[in-house]
Amino acid sequence: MPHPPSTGPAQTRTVTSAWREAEAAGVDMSLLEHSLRLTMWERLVEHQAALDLVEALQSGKIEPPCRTY
Amino acid sequence: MSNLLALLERLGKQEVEFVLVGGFAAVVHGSTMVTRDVDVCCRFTEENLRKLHAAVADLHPVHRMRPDLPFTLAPEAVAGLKNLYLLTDLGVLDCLGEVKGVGDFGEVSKHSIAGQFPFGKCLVIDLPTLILAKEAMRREKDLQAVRQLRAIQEHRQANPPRKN
Repeated sequence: MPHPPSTGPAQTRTVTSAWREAEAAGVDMSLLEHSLRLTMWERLVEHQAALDLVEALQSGKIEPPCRTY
Repeated sequence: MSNLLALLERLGKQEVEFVLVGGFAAVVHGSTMVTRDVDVCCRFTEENLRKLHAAVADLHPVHRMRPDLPFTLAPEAVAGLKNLYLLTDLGVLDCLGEVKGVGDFGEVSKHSIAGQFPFGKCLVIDLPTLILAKEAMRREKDLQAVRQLRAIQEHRQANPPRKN
């Protein structure tokens, strides 16, 4: 059974068509909600941290966590 | 390792006349997509190119499409330039004379907002215009970005910034 759509950013609980469309396309809406609570500069700082992680993973400097079942 | 924040900060500190566009601008607006370059729309005047060069001169800048060519201000190297695709020690910096679907620097700057950052003000293409520009590119990654940007736009319309 598919998950129900999220209700959008916490402060609004407004489900818009674009919000639903993004969620249907696989966008992590909780991450987007988090981003929208930050200042412009904080978003850039978090992006840099994400980019550092991507580049470290790709260069083999760190290994992705193993999945356990 | 790329440090796009430091690259942006350098442009700001050297007072390069530019508007932040592309994926990094999308991040400023709230997109969670990770981008690997800084895209700016700038004037290709002698003075602005001099400031741009000063901002990256110690970062071993080369032309990304021709890494054997360092970025210099030699007249024959910059005459008629419309775009500049640079690779630096801090990452990729793409300088565009115009943005597809929007226009040249003058037009893009009319559709920008002033972002307040620790190093000072920085013009950032506004959200509706960024959506137009991304749609004009028609690449899959841009269309993915548009989905997020439209959601952000609707969120903003429902939650206008509070005035103190």
